Parts: sequence; C-alpha cells; structure tokens
Amino acid sequence: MRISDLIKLSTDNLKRRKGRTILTVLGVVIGTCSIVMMMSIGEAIDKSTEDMMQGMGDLTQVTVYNWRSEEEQEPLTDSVIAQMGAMEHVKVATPLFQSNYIGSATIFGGKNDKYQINCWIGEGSDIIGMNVEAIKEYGYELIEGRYAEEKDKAFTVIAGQNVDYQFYNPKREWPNNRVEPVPDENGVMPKPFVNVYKDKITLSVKSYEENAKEVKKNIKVVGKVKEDWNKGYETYGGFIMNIDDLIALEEEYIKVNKIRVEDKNKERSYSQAVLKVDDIENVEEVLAAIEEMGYDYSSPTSYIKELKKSTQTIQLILAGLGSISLLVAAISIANTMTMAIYERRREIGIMKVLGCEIKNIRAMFLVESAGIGFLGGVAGVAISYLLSFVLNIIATNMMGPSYDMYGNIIEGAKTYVSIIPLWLALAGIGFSSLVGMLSGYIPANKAVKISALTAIKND
Amino acid sequence: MIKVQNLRKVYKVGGEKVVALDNINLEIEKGEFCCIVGTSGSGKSTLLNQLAGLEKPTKGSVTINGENISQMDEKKLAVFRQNNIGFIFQAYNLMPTLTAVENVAFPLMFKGVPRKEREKKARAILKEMQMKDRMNHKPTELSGGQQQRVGIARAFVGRPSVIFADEPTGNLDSKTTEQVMDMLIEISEKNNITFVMVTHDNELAKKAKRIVTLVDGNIVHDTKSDIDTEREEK
Repeated sequence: MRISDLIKLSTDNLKRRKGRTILTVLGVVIGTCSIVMMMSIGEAIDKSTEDMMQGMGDLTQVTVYNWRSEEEQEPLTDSVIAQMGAMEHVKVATPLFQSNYIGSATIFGGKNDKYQINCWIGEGSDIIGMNVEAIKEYGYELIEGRYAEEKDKAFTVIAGQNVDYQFYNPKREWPNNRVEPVPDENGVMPKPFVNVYKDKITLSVKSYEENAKEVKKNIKVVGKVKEDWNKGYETYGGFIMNIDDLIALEEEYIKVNKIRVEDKNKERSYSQAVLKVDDIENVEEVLAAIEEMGYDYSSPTSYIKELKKSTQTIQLILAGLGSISLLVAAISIANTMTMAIYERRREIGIMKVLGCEIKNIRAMFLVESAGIGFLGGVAGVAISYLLSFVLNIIATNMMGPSYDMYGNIIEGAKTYVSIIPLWLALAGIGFSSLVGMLSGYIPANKAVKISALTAIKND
Repeated sequence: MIKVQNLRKVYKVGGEKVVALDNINLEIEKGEFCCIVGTSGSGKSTLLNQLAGLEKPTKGSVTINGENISQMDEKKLAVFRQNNIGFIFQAYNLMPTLTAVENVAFPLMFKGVPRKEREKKARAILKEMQMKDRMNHKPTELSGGQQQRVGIARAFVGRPSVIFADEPTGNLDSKTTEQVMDMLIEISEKNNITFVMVTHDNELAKKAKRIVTLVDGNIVHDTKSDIDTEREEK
C-alpha cells in the first residue's frame, strides 16, 4: 500500500467524524499549548539570565582575594601568584597593585601642567598596576599603538580610550573646564585639551598633609585600549601600568616622606590577584584548584552556575505541568481511537477480506492518531505564538521603559516573558504527533486482531 | 483449481461442541460456476468461509491453485487474497467514505497500484456494468442493486482466479436478483473465473452449472449439469 493512499484513507476517516476529531484535537491543542508556553517562559528566563551574564563582566576572569589572616593562609605573594599562573588552563595570573601609602595621584598634562586628572591608584580605580607581561593576556583590546613591554623604560603605560577627555583645567569653572567626548551635529569629536601621545604627561603622588613631599614621574603613553566595562573604568579614562613601577614609586614616596614602615623586610603581598582562564569551560576546574590552595575567589561563572541551575529547575517544573495536560490529551486520543476502531470493526473485516495486510491496517490507525496529534500540535503552537505575543506586550507595558547603563531610555526595548524559538515550535508539533501516534498504538494493535469474519456476519 | 480434503470445522459454543462441517471433500474446476445450497445451519456459509480462508479448519485442508491456504499465516493469506481471490458480500459492504470508483479500486490500493491506474480500471469495469453515470456517487446515494454492482465490480477488478460470493442477491428484490445473477454468470464465464456462491434459494441455484447441496455439514448432492435438462432438484 502506498503512503499517499494510507494518508488519504486516514484523513477521510478523520473527516468522517468531524465533531469527535475536533474535540480530541482540542485536548491536544491545550496540552501542546501548555507545554510550549511553559517552555517558552523558561526560554525567556534563560535569555534574561544570559543578558544579565553579559553585563556581569568577563566570564573567564577569576579574582583571588587575600582576605584571611596569615595563620589561615599563605599571603598572596609573587611566588604564590606565579604558582597560580602556572596552573593548567590559566593563561595568566597577575597581582593588582594596592598600596597603603599612595592611594591617590594626579596626572598632569600639557604645558606647565595646565590640565590634570585626579586619580585613585589601585584595583578597580583609575590607575591599574599589574605585571607588564599580563596586560596583553588579560584581554585589554588595543585600538591604537602597542602594549607596554618588559624592556620599556619605567612608566611606559597604556591608557583608556577616552583618556584625553578626562583632563580638565582647574582654573576654569564648570562646564568650561573640560571637553566632553560627545560628537557634535556633524559627528565630529571635539578636540580634547590634551593629547597623551604628544603632550608631556606626569604622574604626581602627594599626600594632603601639610609637609608632605611630592614624588613626580614622567609617564609615556604608548597605546590606547578599547572601552570595555567588563574590565573597568581604566579602559575608559584611566591608565594601565607596570606594577613594578608603582611599587618603586611607593618605595620612593615612603623614603622621601620618611614614613615608618613595619616589617620592612617582609616579602610584598597583595590583596588581590586576577587570573585569566583560557576557556569558560575550564573556569570551574581552576576555581576548584584555587579553593584547594585555600584562597577566596570571585568569578561571575560561579554565580551563573547557580542561576542556570535554578532556571533549569523552573523549566523542568513548568514542562512537567504542561506534560500532565498532554498526558490527559493522550488518554483522550486513545479513547477516541478505541471508539473509532470499535465502530469500524466491520470495515476492518472487509479490508482484510479484500486483501489488506495487517501492517497496513495498523499503519492506517497510527496515521490517524498521529494526525490528531499533528493537528493539535500545529494549532497549539499557533495559539502559543499568539499568547506569547500578547503576554510580551502586556509585560512590556507593565514593566515601563528600559534604561541603559547611563540611565537613558532605550527606545523600543521590550520585556520578554515568553520566547518561542523555532526549535520549540517544531519540537511541540513533533512531540504532539508522537504522543498521538503512541496513544493510537494499543488501539491499532487491537484493530489488527479483528477477524476477517466480522465482514460476513450480518448484524 | 479448488480442492477440499476431509474438511471439518467444529465450533465451541459455551461448553458444547457444534459440528458445522463434518467431512467435506470437494473439487471445483477452473472456470466453474458453483452454487452451494442448503438450509440455514447446514454449514454452507462455514464452507464458504473455509474456502476463502477467512477462518482456519479444525481438520483437513483447502487448496487453491495448488497452495494450501489452511496453513498460511495472516500475512501470506493477505497477499494471496490480493492476487487470487475476489469476494462479494450479501450486505455489499462498501466503504461509506469512498465513491463507487474508489470502492471498486479499493482492493488494488492494497496491492500498491497507483491511484490513476487503479481508478482507470475501476471506471472501465463500472462502465461495463452500466454504472457509468453513478461512478462518483457514495454508497448511500446508490440503490441496493447499484451497490451490489459496485460490490461485484470490486470483486472482479483485480482479475482474480476465483470469486466467492456470500448470498450476493440476498438483499435484493426478485427482479434485480435475476439481473445480478445473470451478470455474475456472464462475467465469470467471459473471464474464465471460477465462481463459488452460497445461496439458500434453490431456484436461483438452478442457473448454475454445478450445485452442491449441504445438509448438517455434509455434502448430500453434487450435481454437474452441462445440459440444462440434467439439473437436479432436491
């Protein structure tokens, strides 16, 4: 028997009992709809999680802290950090400069130090100090010039993309004291006060105390990095320099100002180190190793892991709820098929007498029940798209406008509470067809057993 | 052509055994038109079912074209029916959703004959049976006589070597009965098809060249009449 004939016979039979077919299909529609909707809500949660993740920083970055007392853990010294850097999957490990003596600084630029930037020195601020060879590996993306290198003179640095615009003129009043990095109507950027490549740039460290003495160093900018808020402010308007230069600066400052330092001969330890892992997949392995070494750490991935786990649980629960309604639909398909087969016993007998093979009779009923599932699946997915559309509109209106990181309203931004990707739509239809077919399996096997003699009996 | 040897069929009804066929031995030649007659309960319908392989015998065998159909499994039997057997029912047994043409073409569908080809054959045979203007009607739109013609066309369409008919005129009035009966004889003779029918109507059976009479599960008369005058009545 040809497949086309099989399908034609089955659809004819479905059409014959329109009312009953529609009612059974309706059950499948509700079942498919609930599964697809539940899954789509899960998808939306997943997507918002992903969006959130992207705002959470560099996923391959691990920060190691030196929080515990010396009794509890070895201080985070260069040798320990080097040890971390040598671990498998770790691309680079570097301490971040942090000082108890020099916390703030002023960067002067232009003739006679006419313009200046007031800076903080240390992790998470304007001036970042790290191992010079780590700068490139750490993931700062150059847009101009080159990275600073080991062989460079002291205070060879790279700067953030908009560093020129950070200089202001302390003698003028706001807003005329600075140039904002905002293009004019023609899209042309205004000329900043300072050009860090050409102008003389100096770094000055001086405490606010009256008798404090200033230590001043010429710095040379050799490159600029792309603005990247996953890294930090330094990529926007700060400086990245060799940690050794900053340590030397600190020593000089201590010396010049005659500051008394306790445990002078102790090896320097850092409050923070950052590690760059070669791949997101390996972050967890690295985290485990660091934990074993006895250090605290933070990594966006550890948070993401939890988040993913919880969204998966939510999705599973939702899909489970949907499955119950599809199960009910499956029972109703089985019921419909059983009834249909009972009614058509005579026809089945006739078909057998006329030479129809058993496998074709079974196939006919399976196609019929799969057809119910398919129709229900298609209608269910269509309705789900509609529901999803409406839900998203309602959610967008309820949530109000979205803001970007500068607090501006994002035009046309939508809140998604339900997302139906193509795979979900196709899976919905496929799954309901399969459920239809499986529900028809037992009735179809019953049909096959009906005797050819049924055709002869006159009742 | 058809050979029946020591055929016995016993039904169990409740706890009791009912012997429907006792011991039947019968041979039917190729192209023969044979009527099996008998009263209700004589076992004639059981014999037809046995001949067509619709149920298995308790003992004995039925051989058609040299093949023992009593020993075939369902799958083989289905294929055998496709290629060798046509069947005409008393209650016509047409598919209610199909038109006359589709009903006639139905058995060819099981053989895997493409739609166009099988419907062409069906049309040709319906035309032959003066059903030209009823081709696309559903069974409910046809009279009893017309429905049975469709049923007959369906039995002949696959050009089987044997056709079995179970009281084919049982639901028809006497005038139509006559027409249908003549048609059956004409077509089977024309196509050299062996025809075995069951009827309780002795008058009607007289039209056949061979009459097998059953009483209580045994053959009591077996009359071949090549000449009309030699027909025997019970």
